[in-house]
Amino acid sequence: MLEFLAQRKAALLLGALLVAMLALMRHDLSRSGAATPIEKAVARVSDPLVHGGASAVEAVEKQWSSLSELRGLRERSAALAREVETLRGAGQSWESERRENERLRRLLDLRTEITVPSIAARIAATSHVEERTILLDRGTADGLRPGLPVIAADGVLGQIVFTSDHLARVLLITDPTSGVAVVHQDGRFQGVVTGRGDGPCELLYVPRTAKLAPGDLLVTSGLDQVFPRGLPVGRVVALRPAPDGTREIEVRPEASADSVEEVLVLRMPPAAGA
Amino acid sequence: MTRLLWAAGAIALALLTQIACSSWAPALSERVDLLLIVVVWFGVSGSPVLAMLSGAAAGLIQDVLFGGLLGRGGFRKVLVGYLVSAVGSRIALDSWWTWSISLALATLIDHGTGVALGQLMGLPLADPFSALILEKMLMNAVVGTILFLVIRRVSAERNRRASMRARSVRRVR
Repeated sequence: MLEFLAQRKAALLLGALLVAMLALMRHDLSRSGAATPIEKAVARVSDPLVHGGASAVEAVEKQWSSLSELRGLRERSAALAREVETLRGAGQSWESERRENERLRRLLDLRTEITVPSIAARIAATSHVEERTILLDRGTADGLRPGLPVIAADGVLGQIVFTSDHLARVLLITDPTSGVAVVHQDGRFQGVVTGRGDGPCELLYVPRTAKLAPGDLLVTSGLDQVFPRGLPVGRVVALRPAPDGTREIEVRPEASADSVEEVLVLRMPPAAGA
Repeated sequence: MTRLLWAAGAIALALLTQIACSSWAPALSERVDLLLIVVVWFGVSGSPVLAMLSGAAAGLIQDVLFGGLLGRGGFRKVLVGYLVSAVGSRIALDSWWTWSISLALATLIDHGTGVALGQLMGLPLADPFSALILEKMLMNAVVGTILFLVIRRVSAERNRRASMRARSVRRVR
């Protein structure tokens, strides 16, 4: 018997692991949203790696920029040229800091404008593997929980779908499984903005008679009970007739995860019945 | 036990690099799956148990950190680990071109299994057969083969030094 098991160790392990994964998937499909012990355990193990990765990126970027500057300085022979280049390097550093300050100032302005309490977080990693997601460097220890909306200075980014102690995964509005209830900036009609994968989103459930033009701004309507009313979501970029007689309305999100490093998580009160 | 620690270290390093890549080169990070490359490495090294265990760990980490149905990534990578090691036990996967083919096919199996599981579970992928999968196959094959060549070179050098040291010890005796 033991010999039989030893001979078929690989096949038995394969069977056991596949069954375990199927059980996990089945459980994941039927759960209500709270993180499972396995997710928590995996996240706990990965927490330091993700934070370490993000810190390493920052440290290497700093070192790399110093090295680049040093290499550039060595190449210059004339003292005057060296000085000019140093000043130029300093100018670039100032410019980069100015941009960061600008981003943070806009985020701070937004924070004071919004009545909902919020918490600032940094993007630790981005992923396009299956879902369009980002990882934030804050988690349940900071008061975050699944369902909370995440915004950048330019507008809505997405919604938290998973949290561990020190990490939160955000499903971006560009993901096909996400949906944000929106209203036209003039309040003319309502609809739902949903993702299409990468790039632009799509505006759905808009009356055929609704007058729309490229450049029109769509803001959150608050009807989904996730995002507060009035946050910019995206602008209409194209309107095309669809094969079924309706219109295909392409919307470019105002905020992009690729161009921001800091975000605000709105600590909305839990929705009734949630 | 030592090999399990190596596997854990390789997965951790792959995860760190993947996270760093997502900041520095998002386009590359989208096309290269370093965790899959680690699983294929243990598969071509002829260690089915290690390939499957590393596949399960790598897949679950991907599911938790980067989204998707919990267990789908684990299922895909366990299957890839088993299949590559099963092929590796019958055919010698020890040249750059066999590695390239294994990596490309592993990427296809990983993706195809994900699509099939999504359909079965009622969570189909938005764009299951985009051109991106071909780019992923190519990039995983190129990056993985380069990494395998480096690992083999380093390991051969280490073995050479160890045998030289052993010979010199014998001569002294």
